[in-house]
Amino acid sequence: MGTKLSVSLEGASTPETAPRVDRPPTFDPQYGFERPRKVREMKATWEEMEQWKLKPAQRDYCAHHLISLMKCQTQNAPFAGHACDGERGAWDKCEYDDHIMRIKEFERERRLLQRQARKEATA
Amino acid sequence: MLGNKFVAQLALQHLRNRGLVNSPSRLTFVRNRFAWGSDAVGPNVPVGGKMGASENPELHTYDGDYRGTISKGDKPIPDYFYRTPTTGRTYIDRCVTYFISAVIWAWFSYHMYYHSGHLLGHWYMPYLSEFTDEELGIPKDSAEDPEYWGNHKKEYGTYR
Repeated sequence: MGTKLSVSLEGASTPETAPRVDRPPTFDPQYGFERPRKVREMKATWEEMEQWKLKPAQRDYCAHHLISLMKCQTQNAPFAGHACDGERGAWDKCEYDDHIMRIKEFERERRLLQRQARKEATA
Repeated sequence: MLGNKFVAQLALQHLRNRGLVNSPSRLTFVRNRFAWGSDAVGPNVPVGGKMGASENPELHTYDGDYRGTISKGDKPIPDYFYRTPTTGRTYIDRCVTYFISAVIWAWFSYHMYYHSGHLLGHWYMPYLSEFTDEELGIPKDSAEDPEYWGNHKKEYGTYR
């Protein structure tokens, strides 16, 4: 809640150092790390997502977990709430890790922009 | 003088001629056999709902009208209330209430024990300031600058 507000307020008050949330990162993603960053791979195929009629917001890197959950729900109805605890937990954890990764990217972008502004001000 | 049985069979013959009744053995919307005599007499006991004339005190009555379970301590519900509230709940009402409450509390307790994360959150959600510069790959100010691909300083609409 507070982070969403601060992101909007910083975007309005200081747009020079606010990361754009609707486009790719503006700095070299590999800079600043000793080891090259791992390329993220999509586990669910397009045919599987089409077969299970996933919404656009559900076609992320956790789609294979969601497909397993929907399959389990279909097979164990109407006791899916109890039978599919594992799949639901796995999907939630994957979404949480994805969220952490995305907010880290946002914070990296934000700090690099502030660093750039700081260096320009001192130079 | 024709009897009722003969008149009924004659009527059935007329219906069969007009095609309304195809066959005596087939199930149709028209009754094949007309009730008369002793067959038309129904049960003379209350079997639920009402039977008989409305003035008949023996037949025009309800079967099993529930006025509370006296053995469980209920006051009998009178026939009418005159400017007074009702006399509380019955034993059946209390049992139904108990059952519904038990189901709801069982559902709530189970879900709060096993699925409390849906309400309270499963894992820690950090503030952005908690991440370190090394973790995010932020170099020191003395280091060289990373490659910049953005358009923050440009006017909106002048770039792709």
